[in-house]
Amino acid sequence: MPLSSSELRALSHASDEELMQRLQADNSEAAYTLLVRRYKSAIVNFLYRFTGNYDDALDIAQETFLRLYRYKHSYNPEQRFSTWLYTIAANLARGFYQQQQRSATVPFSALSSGQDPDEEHAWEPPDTQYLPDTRVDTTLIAQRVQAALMQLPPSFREIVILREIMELSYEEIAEITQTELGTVKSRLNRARQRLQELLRDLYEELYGNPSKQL
Amino acid sequence: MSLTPHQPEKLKHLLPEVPVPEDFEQQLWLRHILQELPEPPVPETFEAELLQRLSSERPASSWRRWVVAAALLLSGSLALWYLLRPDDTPLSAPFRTLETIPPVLVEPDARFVLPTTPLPPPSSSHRRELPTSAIRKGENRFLPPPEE
Repeated sequence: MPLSSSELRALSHASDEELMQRLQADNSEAAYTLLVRRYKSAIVNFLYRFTGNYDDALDIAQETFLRLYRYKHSYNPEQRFSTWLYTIAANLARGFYQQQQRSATVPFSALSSGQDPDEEHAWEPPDTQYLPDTRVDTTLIAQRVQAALMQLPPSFREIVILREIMELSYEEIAEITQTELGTVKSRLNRARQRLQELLRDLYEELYGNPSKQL
Repeated sequence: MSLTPHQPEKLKHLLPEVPVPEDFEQQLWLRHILQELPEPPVPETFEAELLQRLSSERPASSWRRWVVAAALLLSGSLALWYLLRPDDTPLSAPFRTLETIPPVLVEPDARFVLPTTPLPPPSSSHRRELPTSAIRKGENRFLPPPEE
């Protein structure tokens, strides 16, 4: 049955939690569609930064939203919806990582689609912005930052993405990753230090070596 | 030492400047650059593909629900039957109509009827003699002639 725009309009001002309650009560397709529209970009972004592979990110994002529908009754309306959704996505991402470790280096999407595992599946950001001072291509910067992220252990990478890119609170991250608040903070600090080391060359290329300038 | 509001300079000397880490700027740059990472685009077909996958799951799940309901109904009725059955009902036949089956009468066959009194043991005269004496005498009539 096609979804009417009036249904979508009627629910467009509802909060995420209200939409979830509608979905739980009467399987409202409009509520589900609105939730997907609100979160698809954020979830794909989180998963892409975690997996480093665009196809895998899309695949896991689809699975995340399928599980949202499948397990809608396990959602507690007192819980924040975004935290619950990120928990699903993070669990899937972790499972994906473990599966990838078991099957050596063959990407998850390549297993199902029969693609060449050596083929590169990184999404390249649009080449439209330049840093005026240095004229270093932002595409290259983004690629190097992503490569540095991929060198972090998954438990660190997950936290640094949720905090620095998705801008979630420490409490939310602790709930999503099912770890203590102190663990979140210490992992975040160590992840930042590691990233700084990994990106030191890039920083010096852009801004020079501060110790040499003195 | 106490300070009055007219002694701000003293306060400044009392509280030393907090050192800024050497890599402060780099830390700031890192956080900035992570936030500036571009969001990957979501294909236009994302929602359509999702709804297609969802609709292909729905019939399967409703079919599964029916199977579970049927299994529950069956197990419930079995439990009910077990609890309400009369004591003499055989356990192996919950849905069979209860009817008394007459016992099958088989005519006794003389060949297979065991004698009521045990037969006397055969006398020693009826026993077949073993050809030990003939063997002792060197006769070989019990053996086949050797082939030449």
